[in-house]
Amino acid sequence: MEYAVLVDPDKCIGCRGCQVSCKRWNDRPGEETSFSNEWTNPLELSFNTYTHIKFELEHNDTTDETKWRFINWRCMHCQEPACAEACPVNAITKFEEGPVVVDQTRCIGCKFCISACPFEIPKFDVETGKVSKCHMCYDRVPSKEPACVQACPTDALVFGPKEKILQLAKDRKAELGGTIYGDVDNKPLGGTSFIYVLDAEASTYGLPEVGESLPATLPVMRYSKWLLIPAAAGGLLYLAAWRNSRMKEKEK
Amino acid sequence: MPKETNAPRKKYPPKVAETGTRTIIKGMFQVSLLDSAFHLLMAILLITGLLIDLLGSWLGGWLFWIRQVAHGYLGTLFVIIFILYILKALVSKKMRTVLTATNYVDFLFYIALIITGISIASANAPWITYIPELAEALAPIAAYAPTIHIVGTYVWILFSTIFPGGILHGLATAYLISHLKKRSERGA
Ligand code: HEM
Ligand code: SF4
Repeated sequence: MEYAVLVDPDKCIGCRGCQVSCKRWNDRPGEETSFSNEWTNPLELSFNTYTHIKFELEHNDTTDETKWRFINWRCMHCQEPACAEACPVNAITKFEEGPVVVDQTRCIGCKFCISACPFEIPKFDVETGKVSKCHMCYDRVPSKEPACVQACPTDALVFGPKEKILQLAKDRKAELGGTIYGDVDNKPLGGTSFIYVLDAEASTYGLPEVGESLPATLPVMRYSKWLLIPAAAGGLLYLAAWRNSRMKEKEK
Repeated sequence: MPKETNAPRKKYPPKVAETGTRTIIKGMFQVSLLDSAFHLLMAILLITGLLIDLLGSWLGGWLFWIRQVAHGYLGTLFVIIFILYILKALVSKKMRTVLTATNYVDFLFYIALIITGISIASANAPWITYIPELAEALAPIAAYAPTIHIVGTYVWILFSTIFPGGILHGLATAYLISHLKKRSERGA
């Protein structure tokens, strides 16, 4: 059965409980951070940080009102993951329960998935030479919810069977009058297992516009190896012609 | 296509014909370290790249060191050697006289492979943050770099075997060197 997580930024209070519990479950070290103009901390995802809360402060110039938006951000766990299609060693698997997982023992650190992911999720680590990202707690689901979901005190993250999550998303959308990102209104790469219900356009939350199907560059890359057949044929023809002319030369 | 000619067939210089493959390879490096390093590294990059792309799904994690050392570190060395090689071609008239039109097209392929290779290698690499100009210049191709790198390799192989370019020339050279002894014994 397929499972999904509903992300409801309107309910998020920016406590970063999800960030911390992800670190603890995955036994990842903390990042060395520095002061910046941003509240988001750490600023970017990394090899050791699979999820973070993006803090966005919106200011309405006419009413002089400010509004906080807190967005839980990590791998979207696409139905047709571009990262998996790009991987030359098949180290990335999409499981039927939903998670898209990088097998670190197979990963050779080629970084093709980094280029392929439209959400800029997989991160490379120079020390290990490998790539990592959120794996939707494939080692917990479905018997337990992902660690980030379990830690969330306000139900801004909800885990369950995909059908149930989609219904929840539609009901919430009716309340918020916004949009659903990841399924229903907007299905990046065939739909995703993390689904956002938003009170505004996806672009207001900085979510990228991504096509429903894989970009054509990926199958082109995968199948270009077939060019070896005409190349080998061309090479053999050339050698045959060369041999022929040598024979003629010898006969002379 | 090889042209028929009435010219007498060339004989190998006596010293070359008598020496073994190892001595020839050693001699190649003595005559031009740059030229030999360029060809050797290019062959290593081609073979290791093909290994990753063709056998990746079978060999999986075994290819880690091939990617990291033989394609990654030696790839960086190749970039430096290639720049020196091009500089040498620019200043040496003698070198330019032996370069054919196909060689120049081959250079364009190397340039494409080098730019996209650096783009792939720089993803999330700490060193790229110290060269923001390079990061900015590579940003527009970041999403397509692996596709251009791999498709470029196969198109180059196709071009190279049809016209014929560097790859057939390389295979022929390897064949000739490895058969020198036999040919000299036959009195070729
Ligand atoms: C289908 C074949 C190929 C594949 C799958 C492939 C794959 C890769 C990968 C994964 C990288 C990143 C290496 C790293 O970050 O450590 C890379 C970089 C590079 N590749 Fe290839 N490659 C192929 C063919 C070639 C060929 C034929 C050449 C040159 C003649 C070449 C030259 C380079 C260079 C110069 C770099 C940059 C190395 C660096 O700066 O670390 N590649 N390639
Ligand atoms: S978000 Fe990126 S890394 Fe995650 S499954 Fe989709 S393509 Fe892959």
